[in-house]
Amino acid sequence: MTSLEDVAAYLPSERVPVSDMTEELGLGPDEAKVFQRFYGLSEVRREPGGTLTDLLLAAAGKLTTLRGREHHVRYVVQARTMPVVVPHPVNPVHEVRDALGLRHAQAFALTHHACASGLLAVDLCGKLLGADGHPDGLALVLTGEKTFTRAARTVPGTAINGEGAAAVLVGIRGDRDRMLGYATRTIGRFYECLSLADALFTEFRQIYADSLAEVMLAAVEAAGLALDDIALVLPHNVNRVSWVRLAKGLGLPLDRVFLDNIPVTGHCFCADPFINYQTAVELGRLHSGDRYLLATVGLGATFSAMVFEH
Amino acid sequence: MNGSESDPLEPGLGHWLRERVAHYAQREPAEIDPSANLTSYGLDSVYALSLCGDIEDRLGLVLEPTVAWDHPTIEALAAHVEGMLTDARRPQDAG
Amino acid sequence: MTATELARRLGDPWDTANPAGHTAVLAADERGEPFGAGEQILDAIGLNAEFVPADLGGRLARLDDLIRVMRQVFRRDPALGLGYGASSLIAAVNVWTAGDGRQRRRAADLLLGGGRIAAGYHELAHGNDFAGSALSAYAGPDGRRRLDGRKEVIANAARAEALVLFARTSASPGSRSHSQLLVERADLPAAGCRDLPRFLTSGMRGVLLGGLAFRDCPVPADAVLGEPGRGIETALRSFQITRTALPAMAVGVLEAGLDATARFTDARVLYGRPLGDMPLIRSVLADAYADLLICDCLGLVAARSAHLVPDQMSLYASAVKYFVATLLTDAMYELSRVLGAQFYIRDGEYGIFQKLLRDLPPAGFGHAARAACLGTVLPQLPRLARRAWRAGDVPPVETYRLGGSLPPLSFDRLTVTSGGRDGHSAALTLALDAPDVPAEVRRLLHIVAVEFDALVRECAALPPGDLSVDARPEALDLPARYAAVLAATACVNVWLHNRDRGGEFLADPRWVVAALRRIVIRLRRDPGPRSRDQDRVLAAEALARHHRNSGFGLSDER
Repeated sequence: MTSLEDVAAYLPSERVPVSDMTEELGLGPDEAKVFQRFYGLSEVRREPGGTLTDLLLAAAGKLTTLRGREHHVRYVVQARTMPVVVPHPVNPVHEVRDALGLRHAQAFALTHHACASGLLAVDLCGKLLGADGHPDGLALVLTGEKTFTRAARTVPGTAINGEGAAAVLVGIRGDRDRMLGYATRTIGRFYECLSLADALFTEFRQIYADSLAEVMLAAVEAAGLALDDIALVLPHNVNRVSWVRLAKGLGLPLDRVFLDNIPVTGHCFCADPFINYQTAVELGRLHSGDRYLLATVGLGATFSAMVFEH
Repeated sequence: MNGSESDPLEPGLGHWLRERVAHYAQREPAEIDPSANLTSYGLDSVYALSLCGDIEDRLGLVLEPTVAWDHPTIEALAAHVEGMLTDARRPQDAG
Repeated sequence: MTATELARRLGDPWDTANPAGHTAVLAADERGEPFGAGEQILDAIGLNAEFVPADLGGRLARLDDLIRVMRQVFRRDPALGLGYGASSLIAAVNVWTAGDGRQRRRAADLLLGGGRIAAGYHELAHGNDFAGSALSAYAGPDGRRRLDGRKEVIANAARAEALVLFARTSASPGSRSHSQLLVERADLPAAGCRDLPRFLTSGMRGVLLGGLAFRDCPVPADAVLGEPGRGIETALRSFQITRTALPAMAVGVLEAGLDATARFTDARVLYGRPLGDMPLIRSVLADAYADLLICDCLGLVAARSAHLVPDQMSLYASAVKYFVATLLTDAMYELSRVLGAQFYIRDGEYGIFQKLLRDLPPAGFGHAARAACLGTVLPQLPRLARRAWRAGDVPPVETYRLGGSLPPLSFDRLTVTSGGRDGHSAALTLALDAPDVPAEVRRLLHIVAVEFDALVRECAALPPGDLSVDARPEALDLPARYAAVLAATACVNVWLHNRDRGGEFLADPRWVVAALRRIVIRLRRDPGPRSRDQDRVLAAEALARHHRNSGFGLSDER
């Protein structure tokens, strides 16, 4: 049974307030204030001098339970939003693998679910490990990206993207954070992502809330549960308002949606739900036996949700 | 279940109310007589409604908004609210 | 009785031969008399039944329907609207809110029989400070209450079959010393009750404003509505209905003003072309029309809120009274500039305009002055700023769906404060994230949101001295700005939730852009350059409605 053996998160120390980003993001003064006061976006983190390898390693290096179990790791998977993240022949996933002493593991990247690729990677790793027949086998999922370009820094009108990483150690022993259900749905006509024609982008925004709600309910159902059984939703950190709307649509009390990180991290691509997991555990928001749900959307467009038991 | 004087959750409700009344009346708490009608400090119906909101927010209770119209002294108001708290907690205590 | 049917019976206002047209309305106004032909039509259709709840045999089931019907009356003659209709409604809501079964039955029978109930609240010496009312109804030696004092500037005081009197029933200080009494004129001994001379007025000249002086006047033992001492509470609760409904009815006055102005701009040729083709004139028409739509949105949303979120009406009713009355008055003044000399000429084709202009201010002032309404909202703002405005607890979408089904109106769910709840403001936040919002709507919403955010901060920091009548003028500006934010929320949500079901004009975002621009100006922010295209669309729509003799509201139905 797929389970999260360990999760570690890393946020760079340099804070960039949204008010300092208005020019680079093309935000008017009113829009910038709305982003801060209503969307709950106050700052993001960046590490201008650091590489993607540095970022991912900083998270993976905090996986204390990896120590001494390196030989069990069979896969190192980078789940990422952007298909191309570094110039050839730089290969961060190989660099991280090697630096962690995991040269024996197979390394590859998953991108086609964009920001939802992290959940896909967890599910895939569980399946691969299960098929391998090694009960102690592990897989390392790496999430988080750099925001070098303007296109990487915002989802216009919706989110501000930041740098932050999470490393997830996936196993199949199922003794902690067992995956109970996973649902994902890709709606291919939005494949052009941010280059969508206006009408199609509007359509994406229109179906967004319902589609995400649908996979959240599907994942809950796959877990054999009802929404009321979910103690906490660990969402992607796009903005507060869209979660207020979604929670209302689902009849989900807002205090069961973990929104604490939106003002701290902004949207960190595939890393959001895992960074949120880590913070929620730190804050004591998850108790043993709690069922919780990770929910995220990738442009392109993929809607994904995964239910776990803590 | 004892009376509200020993209630560990809400020590000095009367004391706190006196401070709120002093705040609205823009006077020192010591100048406020807990047995005097709120109107004697110039606190009209509007302030009484605000005071009710303050109590609700502090204690997480739902009160009739006009509670301070019906219990127009600090003593009366505190006694009424403490009585409500006692009633609200009784079922859990009994269980 | 539908509004459409009433409009049909009132006939073409511009037909000089119509006994219920503008010519006849003006003639009655010149004589300072109630408009007889109008009263006959309203008698014939049993208009009073609109004020009586359905469970008592009347037709009052939905506040938005009541407004739609009464708007036709106000559109034809504001004095008829107030004098025939609204004054009985103001009195009756007290009975529906606080009366026992017998009192409710009696009031219903009176109204359904074509009678009137006068609302005896006002005393010239105390104005809107009704807690200061000096009319007393203390128990006499025989145990019966006796009236002593006066009520002044009361519509239909002399001809009403019954009165709801607001009187002091206890000498104690505080807010439990007043009560309403439902008394029938026939039960009052002539020796104890004297009619005051009629008050002569400049506007609403067709309303019979009188007064009563009482001296040791005994009343029946069962006259008090509800438990004695609950009068202030009853007034604050029941008037939430009338403070919402009356301004929304008075939108009919601006409809008539817009109708007259559109007719004028169409007929008048200046510099070889119709006046209405000049960009300046078009912009005035477009602005007045946008103001009308704002009033319509806010009025209807508040009316629907009375059914769906009655616990929050203490905020919305007063905000509507303030904002709608202000917009209507200002818009009529702006239109008067288009009419040139015709705006003050008392006869001829456009003579109706000066009457409308005179009638509107009393409609805006009457029942509760705008400053008093702001004073009702102001003390609630600090608590809203502390908790409600970020909570995201929005009202059901049905609140914004015009004409959609509604739960029954329950007077007993109205409360004197909103208890720190305010769903409509949260709905502004959600609208920011709504998909498919044109960039221009979004940009204007951002301005409103930023102003709202500033308002929240200022309200959270309001000192205690600003919560009462001693509030600084700047403090009273806060509820005024709050009302503007509510209006913006109402407009954008009405557009969002009706664009797929309300017809072509309602679906076009240009009206909501125009409305938001007007509100942004009220918030003292610059909405940016105006679009000629938008002026053209709105002015053309106003003209088309005039030609079709239809309503000017969100829907062109009447």
